[in-house]
Parts: sequence; C-alpha cells; structure tokens
Amino acid sequence: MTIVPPVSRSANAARTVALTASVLAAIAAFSLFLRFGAADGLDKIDVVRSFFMLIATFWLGWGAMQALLGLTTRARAPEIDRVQPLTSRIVVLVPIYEEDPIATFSRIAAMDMSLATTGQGDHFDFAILSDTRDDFVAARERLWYLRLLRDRDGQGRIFYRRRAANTGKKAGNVEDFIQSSGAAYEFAIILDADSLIEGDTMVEIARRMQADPKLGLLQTLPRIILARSRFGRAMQFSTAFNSPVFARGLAMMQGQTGPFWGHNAIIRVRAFAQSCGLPVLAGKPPFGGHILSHDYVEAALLARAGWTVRLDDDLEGSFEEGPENIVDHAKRDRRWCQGNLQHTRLLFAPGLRGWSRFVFVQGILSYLVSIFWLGFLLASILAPAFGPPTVYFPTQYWPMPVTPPDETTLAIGLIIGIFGMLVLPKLMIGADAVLRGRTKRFGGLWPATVSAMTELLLSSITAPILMMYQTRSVFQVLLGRDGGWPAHDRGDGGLRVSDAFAACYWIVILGLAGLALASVLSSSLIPWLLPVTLPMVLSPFIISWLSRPGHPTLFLTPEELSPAPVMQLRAEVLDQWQAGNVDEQPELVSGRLQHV
Amino acid sequence: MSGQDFNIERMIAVIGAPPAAPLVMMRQQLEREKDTALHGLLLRLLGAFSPKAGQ
Repeated sequence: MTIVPPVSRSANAARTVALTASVLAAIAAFSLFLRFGAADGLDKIDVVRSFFMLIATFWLGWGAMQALLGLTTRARAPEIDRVQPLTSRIVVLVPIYEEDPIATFSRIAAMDMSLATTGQGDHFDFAILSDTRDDFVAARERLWYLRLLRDRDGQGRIFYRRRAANTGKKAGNVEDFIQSSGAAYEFAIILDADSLIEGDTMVEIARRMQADPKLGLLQTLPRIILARSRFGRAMQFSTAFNSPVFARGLAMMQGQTGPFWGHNAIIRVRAFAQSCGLPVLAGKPPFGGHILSHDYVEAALLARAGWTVRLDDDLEGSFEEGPENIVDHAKRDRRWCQGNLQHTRLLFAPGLRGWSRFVFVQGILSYLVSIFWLGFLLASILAPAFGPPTVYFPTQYWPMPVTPPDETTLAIGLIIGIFGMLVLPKLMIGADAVLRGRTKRFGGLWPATVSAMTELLLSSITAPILMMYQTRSVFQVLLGRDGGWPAHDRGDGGLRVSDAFAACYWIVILGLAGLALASVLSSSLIPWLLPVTLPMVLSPFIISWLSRPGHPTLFLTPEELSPAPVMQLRAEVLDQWQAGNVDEQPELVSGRLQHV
Repeated sequence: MSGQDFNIERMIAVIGAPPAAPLVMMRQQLEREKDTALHGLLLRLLGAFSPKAGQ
C-alpha cells in the first residue's frame, strides 16, 4: 500500500481549532509577559523569559484544547459484522524482560480463559517472547511456562522462546518473532508484560481489523489497575477519570495517523513487516543506535505506507499496571525521554506524513517544556540583576519622581490564564462527569469529587518534582548519556524517607538554592516561587509519603468497584499459583532447582 | 547449569517453539545522506529540531 488517503474534514477541523487556539494563547501570553517585563524598561532577559513563556503556554494550551475537544463528542463503536465467526489467525505477543513469571504468566492464563468463554479462542495463540538475560529468572520462566501449559492445556498454542541476544530490545524482540513466525498469522496483539485484555475485547479488535482491510494498527486505551500506593492510585484514578476525555480529543484529531503506544494494540502482521523494519541509526546511543521509542516511529511508518493507524477509545477491557512511586515513574520517564529526544533524528525522515512529524514534535516538546518552565523561573529570579536600574528622575526639568507603570494587574491576569489552562481541563472533565452521571462509576458524586480534587492537588504538588526529573533526563540525554534498558520494578514500591532522599537530594539542594538566590536578587518573588520550591525542598517526604499504601475509599475506579471478568480470573489463577502447594508447584518452588 | 536443567531448557525450546513461518521485515530508510551531525550540549540543544541532532 502506497496510496496515502486524504485526512478527513472533521480531523482537519479539530486539528486546526486545537492548533490555532494553542498558538493564539501562546502569542497572548508572550505579548502580555513582554509588556509586564518591559514596564521597567525592555532588556534581553525579558525577551528570553517571554520566549520561554511562549513555548510553555503553547504546550499547556495544546493539552487543554485536547481535553476541551474531547468533551464535545462521545466515542462510538464502528458498525461491523459481529455475528460471523472470526476467519483470521491471531497471535498474542507477550515480550518479557526480567519479569516475575508468576505475575506475567498468570495474566496469560487469565486471558486464555477469558478468550475461551468467547467461543473464538481457537483463533488465538499466545507467544511469550523472552529477552531475559538472568539465567535464574529464565529458569523460573521455563518452569512456570510448564505450569501454564499444564493448567491451560496449551501445548501447540501457547509458545515460549528465549532469544540468545536481546538485539533491538522490545522492538527487536517482536521483529524477531515476525521474521521467524509472522507468516502464520494475519494479526498480532502486542502486549507488555503487565498487560491484561478481556477476551471479548481481543475478539472485537480482531473483528475490526478484519472489517477494514486498510487498518494497519488499532490501539486501545489501557486503564491502570491494581495500584496500591497513594501515587499509584492517584494515577490509576486519573487514567480512568481524565484520560478517556483526552483520548477522545486525540482520536478526533488522528485521521489515519493515530497513535501507537507499544502495547495493548493489534497490528496487521504483513503491513507491519512491509513497513516497520526499523533501521539502526548511525552513531552511538542516546541519539544513535536502535530506536528506543519505536512505537511512535512504527505508527508513522505504517501511515507513510498508506495504512490507517487508529485509536478506538470506545473499547473497554484493556488494562495495564503502573509505577507505584515517583522514583519508578521517573526511571520509566527517563527511558521515554531518551526515546522521544532521539526522534529529533527522524523529524525529516523522507515521506512521513505531516501529522506524524508533528507527533514527533509533541513527544520532544513534552520533555523540553520542563526546561522551558525551569528556564522561565530562573530568568525571572535573575531578571532584577540584569534589568536597568529604575530612574525616578528621568529629566532635570521635572521635580517630581516618576515611578514605572504598574503592570501588576497584567501579571495577575497572566497568572490566572496560565493557572486556568492547567486546571480548567480537569475541572471541566469533573463537571462533565457530574452532568452525565459518570461519577456513579467512581463511587458516587461525593467520592468522585473528593478524588478528583485530591488528584488535582497531588498533581500540582508533584509537578515541580517531576519537572526536575524531566529536566535532568533531558540534560543527561543531551550530554550523551545512555539510560540503558533497566528492568521494571514491579514490587509494592514503598520507599523510606532515606531511600527517597537518596533519589532526590539534588532536587532539595536546587530548591534551597532557588530560594536563596531569590531572597538575594528578588525577595518579592519568593511567595510566587513557593508553590514550586516548597515541593522541591520537601520532595523526600512527599515521595516517601506518596509511595505508601493509599486509602481504599479514595481514588475509587470502576475496575475496583466492579472488577472486569479477566481481572477476576487473573486473581484466581494468581491465588492458586501463589498458594504454595508444593505438589502443584514446579520444582523451583520446592527448592530442587535453586542452584540454577 | 546441571544436565537436568539443560535438558529442561532443550525440552522447552522444542515444545515452546512458535510455528516456523518466516516473513521478511523490510528495512526502512529514515535518514538522509546529507544530514549533518551536531556535537556538544549547546549545539544539540539549539539543534533539537535538526536532523542528526545528537550524533
């Protein structure tokens, strides 16, 4: 396929509205701040911080517009034939890397059981694609694979293979499977180790692929489940409460160039093989070498070849698990940061569709914007040192002192505007949830309101800490430091204050330095800086407190109030497997293979 | 690794093997030959939106 279809009028209109509004908001913020800064005379630092304000406001406006657009329509399932049985063969790919096999394989067992209840399970195989390097973990994988086979009678349809070398990481792992076994399947559902998808949902996405021969990739919107910590539960609530609206906005703008987030998605195997063979970029990591954030690139390449890439945000029953604390979140974010900044190499790749390039820009900007915010704050602290001295008697012919024009009203208006763009989308999503009765799924009006307000508060408190981690990540990548491929920590995530301090002491130091600098150069700024610097100074306590178990009645989600069938199946399998019945367990648990 | 474990590994490799059905992954061209490299923190930052920004 090389004929690139035109973008639909509705997608074009949504893109135009969102882009125009964001650009206008950015220009307005730029000019207002320039006027405010120039009140005591225009100097270079005013222009610099106004520029920082321009970029940061564009980014805020873009996010806000995505949410506002998302509130204007509702997701609808496409009309397709759901009566006829599936005619395709589908493989569910589960790439793993140093994961706990009990946790991962119990999800596979649950998904297999869930598929069996649909009556279409015969069309699906599973393939566990291990990139594990640790021999002990690999030995456990093999033994628990045998248990999975035995429990699900899975020989010949649940596969396991371990690569000798993990070239190309996850993308290379999937590519290796397609090269050796891809011709056996029409479609492949790509998962992460912590993914869980309802059988009905897997059948539905396969049907949608069958129904639209131009569809190369269909992405679902995964919900976070099973979070325990305060931080994890807040994120879980936010993805259930806010993300569907942002996703709706994204879906309205996607046209044929939708997103791929690397997992919980289905691909047309031949389209993927024809279009998505990723090159190794010249040079060393972090900018050269294998493409790290391969999903964005694969979506762009499918679209370049004329295939449709689509996010169907109406789909339910797609789940994943998330990090339990800020430090784990920051580790994952470091990898994403490197991957997204690596896309600078691909912005001008030949033949890409304009929207794909813009998606790369968005990904890059999502990390660079932290630098712009920080730069803005620093420039504001330093501005008095660079500005011209105030001249109260500009002329000898006027005996009265002349004070600079007071632009405080302007500054307050600007702050309200910026703050509005930060919180307005979430407030509107909350209002929409109340009006449409969506709060019932979150425990009712009062629990949902308390959760939404608490999430807003927590995200405001953690924003400066996350900004600092992002800024460090950007500088590390720009300095040429490769973050590698750390294994996921999927433990309970609890952190003591000392552990948290070890991970964020530099944020505390920078927070104190910022306050000290402000007290010397511009003490009037200190109250304005406290919402940023106070969380930085208190970050060890905040990180530690947020990593502790959350209250079960706060941040209730629909999946907690009424767990999906596949979640219940998974819990049953996990309970059984962890029950410790030695007769039922593989040899490793009984201690006979612990020398491996 | 003991002989027993080695046998388990071989056994799993046989029973766990996905079907042999090769498919060629077409390698894609993403870089242009005339792209130039930028070295150093400042140039990388300034050239964040340039091809080969960080090589």
